[in-house]
Amino acid sequence: MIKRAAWPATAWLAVFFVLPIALIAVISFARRTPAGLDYWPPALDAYRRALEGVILRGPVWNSAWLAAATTALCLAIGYPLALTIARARGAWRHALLFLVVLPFFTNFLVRTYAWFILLSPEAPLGRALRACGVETPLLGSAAGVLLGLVYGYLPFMVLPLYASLEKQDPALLDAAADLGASPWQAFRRVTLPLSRPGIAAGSLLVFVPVLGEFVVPRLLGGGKVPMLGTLIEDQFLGKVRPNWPFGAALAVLLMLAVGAALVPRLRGGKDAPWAA
Amino acid sequence: MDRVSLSVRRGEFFSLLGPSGCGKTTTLRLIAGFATPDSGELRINGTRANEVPPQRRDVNLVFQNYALFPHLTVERNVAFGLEIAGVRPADIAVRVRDALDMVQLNAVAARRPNQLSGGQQQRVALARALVTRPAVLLLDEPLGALDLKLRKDMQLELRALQKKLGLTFIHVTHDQEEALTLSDRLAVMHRGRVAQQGTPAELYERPATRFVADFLGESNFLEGEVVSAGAAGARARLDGLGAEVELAADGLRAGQRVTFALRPERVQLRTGGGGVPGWPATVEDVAYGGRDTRYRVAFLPGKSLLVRAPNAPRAQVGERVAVGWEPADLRLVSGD
Repeated sequence: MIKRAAWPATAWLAVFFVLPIALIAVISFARRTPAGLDYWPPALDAYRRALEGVILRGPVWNSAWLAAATTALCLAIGYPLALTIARARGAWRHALLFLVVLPFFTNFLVRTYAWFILLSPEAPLGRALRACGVETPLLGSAAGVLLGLVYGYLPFMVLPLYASLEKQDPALLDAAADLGASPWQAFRRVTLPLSRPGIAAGSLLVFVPVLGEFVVPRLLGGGKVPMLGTLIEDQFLGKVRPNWPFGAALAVLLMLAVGAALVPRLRGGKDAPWAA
Repeated sequence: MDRVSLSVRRGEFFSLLGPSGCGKTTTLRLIAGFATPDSGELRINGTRANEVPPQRRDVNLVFQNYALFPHLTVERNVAFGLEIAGVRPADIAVRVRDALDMVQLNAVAARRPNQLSGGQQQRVALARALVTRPAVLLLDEPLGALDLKLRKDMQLELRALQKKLGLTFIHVTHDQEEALTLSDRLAVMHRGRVAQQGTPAELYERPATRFVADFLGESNFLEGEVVSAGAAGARARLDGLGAEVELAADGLRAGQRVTFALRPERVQLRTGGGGVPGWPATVEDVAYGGRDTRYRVAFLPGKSLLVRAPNAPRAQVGERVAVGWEPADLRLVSGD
């Protein structure tokens, strides 16, 4: 039974979330014929191809390590940033927070194009690197993709971290200092453990979307850094031999893998007494 | 805060009492090291401590809202200071157990603060601050968040604990009864200054200012004027009564306005109509208060007097009575 008040939300989820996913699932079991897709009987061709896996090796590896590296870098940059904002006073805090969300005022694609220009060999950054003897171009390399990913996903790390740091009672730091803790000890023993829900939420919001990211590797990787996202995109929109069932099967498998990895963690997180 | 000068003796239970905003919490934060004085000196155990950061002061604070670490168990909260100090784990276990025994909380050692009642949280805060054996324990309205019955119990426990440990306690409160009951000595603060300091009996019996007389317990105030002043002493006449009072204080001059404080329990109330010695008055209000009865009597035009008298015999509202007092019960207080 669904309560009356829950109907709009349920309907919204059904139309914009469940329906598209169901569609993808259905497509993943279709068979390609010269006349088009054949939906009945369901076939496992796409999954068989995906699990044979040769074609996946590069993209899976790239997606996994780039997602992990992006998460780690966002955390390394985002934590001090979030802490600074959370401890800033009134007007400063709002100004800094505004700067964090400012990039969202522009389309992600447009911003990534901007990086495309910034990273091109003829741009000042490229010239400076060459002058220093670094010959590897940023554009079309994993380093360039990583840079774009960190740039694009940093706010998703900073915002949940800020939220969890901002609600910490400042008296706790006084209490730690009063009991003899240096500022660093107070951070490590009080601030850091109390911000664990924020770290978990931020990491999730960065890691999962980066796994399926295709805009950044497409634009900044120049086809040299294939990721799962670009592989799936190719199956639907690619100019060479698109394969919808294979793309759909990859999407379903990615979803299942992420789900299997996250569900137990989410449940554990809720039990933690300082969550909520 | 302005020209606050206090000295607290070793092993003493000292209270800072005053209404909110009087500077008592600021004083406590200065001692703890969370605020720095613009001028003046703070000495702990005889050494200047102005520049010592809070983590190196041999002083622990029990915070107003306890500030327990929500992610740590009761045990780990209490162990915090010892872990920071690098005490051996085996010793930590023993000392934490002793500290929790002292506040009777060993049964909940494994719980987290949000699973405890307010009174239990208060004891954890106490144990956490005491376990490192500081020279001075500071308590910022430690019982403020507890209900009345629990507060009374905790007052007794706090006092017993302080006597047992022989530690110096500096306690901030706005509850005058709590300050009187707990303290060896106390200071009443008013508008950022110390209005008066001394033992509870000194402050209650001999309030120096009108504020202290009013804030500690209740007081009636009678105005008067100095009629003669000399080397032998001074005399003042009470407004509207014509009665003259001897004054021991010097530095007074004739014509000066003075204020006297008179405790309600020092006023004698006599029933029985005309012929009874004292000043005539009419009972306006009677409130039975258990131990005694509180009266408000119309005394002089536009002036009433609070009286606390034994329950029997009882005067009725509207009854004509006589009020009187011993001249020694009139205490000369300064105006502010």
